[in-house]
Amino acid sequence: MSAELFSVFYQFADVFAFLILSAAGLAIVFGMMGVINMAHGEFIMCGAYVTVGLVKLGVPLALAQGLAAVTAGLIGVAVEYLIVRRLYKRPLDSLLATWGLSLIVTQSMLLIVGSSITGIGTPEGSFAIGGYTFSTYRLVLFACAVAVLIGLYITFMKTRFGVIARATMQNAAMAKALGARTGRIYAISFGIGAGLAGLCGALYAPTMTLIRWAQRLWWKVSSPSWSAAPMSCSAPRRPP
Amino acid sequence: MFKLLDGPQTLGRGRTFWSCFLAVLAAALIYPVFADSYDVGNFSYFLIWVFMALGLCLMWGYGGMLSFGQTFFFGISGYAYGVLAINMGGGTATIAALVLSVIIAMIAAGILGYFMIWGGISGIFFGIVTLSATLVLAFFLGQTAGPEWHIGTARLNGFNGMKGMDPLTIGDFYIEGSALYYVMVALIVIVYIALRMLVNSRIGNVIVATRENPQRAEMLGYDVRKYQLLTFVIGSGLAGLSGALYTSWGQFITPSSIGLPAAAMPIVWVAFSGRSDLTATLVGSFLLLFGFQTITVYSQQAALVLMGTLLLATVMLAPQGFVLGVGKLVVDRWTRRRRGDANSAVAETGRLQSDEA
Repeated sequence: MSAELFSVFYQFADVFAFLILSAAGLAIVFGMMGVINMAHGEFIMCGAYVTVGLVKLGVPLALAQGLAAVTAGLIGVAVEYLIVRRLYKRPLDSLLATWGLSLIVTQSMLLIVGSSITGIGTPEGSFAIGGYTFSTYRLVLFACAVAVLIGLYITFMKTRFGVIARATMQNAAMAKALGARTGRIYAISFGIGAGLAGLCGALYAPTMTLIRWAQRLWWKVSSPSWSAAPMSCSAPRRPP
Repeated sequence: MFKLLDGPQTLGRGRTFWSCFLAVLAAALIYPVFADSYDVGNFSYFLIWVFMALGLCLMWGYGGMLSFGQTFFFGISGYAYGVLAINMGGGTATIAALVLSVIIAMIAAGILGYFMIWGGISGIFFGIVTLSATLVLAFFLGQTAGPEWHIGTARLNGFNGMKGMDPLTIGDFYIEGSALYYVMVALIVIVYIALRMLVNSRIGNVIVATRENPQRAEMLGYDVRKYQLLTFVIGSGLAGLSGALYTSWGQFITPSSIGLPAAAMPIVWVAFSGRSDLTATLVGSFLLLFGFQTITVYSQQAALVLMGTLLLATVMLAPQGFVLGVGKLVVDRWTRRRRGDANSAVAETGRLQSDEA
């Protein structure tokens, strides 16, 4: 009985982790900053590709994942500085510009890397409850998702940066008048969003075959059809 | 009636512009005499998409409604043409199938538009809802592979696409090659002239007024929702015309001509061309399709990268559109004598754009 219960929880945790990790960045970029970032999936893709690349170079997985998230975050800051910054007052145009960026990045990756590269295996480790075996890595993902949620809450609700960031999103002119460096705040917030997207890609990179799944993610996250996404995870779920 | 051809909502007026128009039209008409039939077929193919671009230009540039759903109505009409043409048999019935499928697309636009516009959806969410509808249709048609998915004798065939319908036919005469090309050119001219008249008429003024400020237009006593719905139905109907023509051109349609990459295309064309003017959209879409086709022969990925770059560059460097900007520059140089006149026109359009943003 407890095995069945745990199995239900395990599946819940699996879907929960995927949704939170893939949508957390969007919550900042779209939810707080109001920027429709069609290139969100590309940041996820960036995280995944950097992770795979680094692991193949011999970097330990956890370190590679951290570096991948940081890379995505830095690229996010650059994108904000070069593109999104000029379009805050033209939301439709920011949608078009990021869509253009998304087309460029996805198709360039297809040209450069090809439509498939060999993945890296899911970290070993499983445990058994009752008659079922579960993968430990899925629980690690769940823990990461919870940690991201708590971290975000603390960052934006309990720190000085969070207060200034929220003030900037609410009324940039007033925050600026009070001495906040709004430009920097915007850039950092966008960077955090992109970094979280990269983290999602990095964490899920070992569990998936890297195909162009990331580009469609934005719609899976933002529309009810998301249930198709976790199905594409190739790691064994609930093996008998 | 013909007074409406020139007006405040369209750029290009007077004898010079219409002389150029007639010259281009004449060149288009004698083109098949000099070109080989393969190129003529290709040109017809480019012209198919121009209707869709003009429809989006009307909705987005004039009406201020960014619809991502052009391929939604393209798909509805394209599949409708296939189903009707197969079920009604070939021959002259294909003409009826063409007309009916466009009407079906317009009815669909009326239903979707009614719920969106009366539901108060505007701005970005208009785009999101229309794109969602598009993706739903694309995914739905993608899973119709089984033999149980058929309408009459027409199999939908899922991702493999529907095929086997007749091209446009009158009696025993298949409209293809040069004949199809001339039909396309005639349709383009009719649609272009009709849209010009529409946007310069009273209705067009209300549509533009709604784009500028819906509340103000409403306060002036217009039921803006009706005008928005009219714009949406006409614009989507033009996408439907593209769809039906596309299916009859290739006797083939697949869900991939509805899905996300396809849905992006009309927006790229119109944004690049200059969404606030019909002529710019007409010229720009054609040029872009021509360029895209030329590059796609070598690499589809490279062509899409180029599309993305164009979209990005347009938004960052020329928010009004490249063709429109270049066109204005040329016209400015050309008519230095009437400089004050031209400048005021440019300044006016610039202001409208900034208001919209």
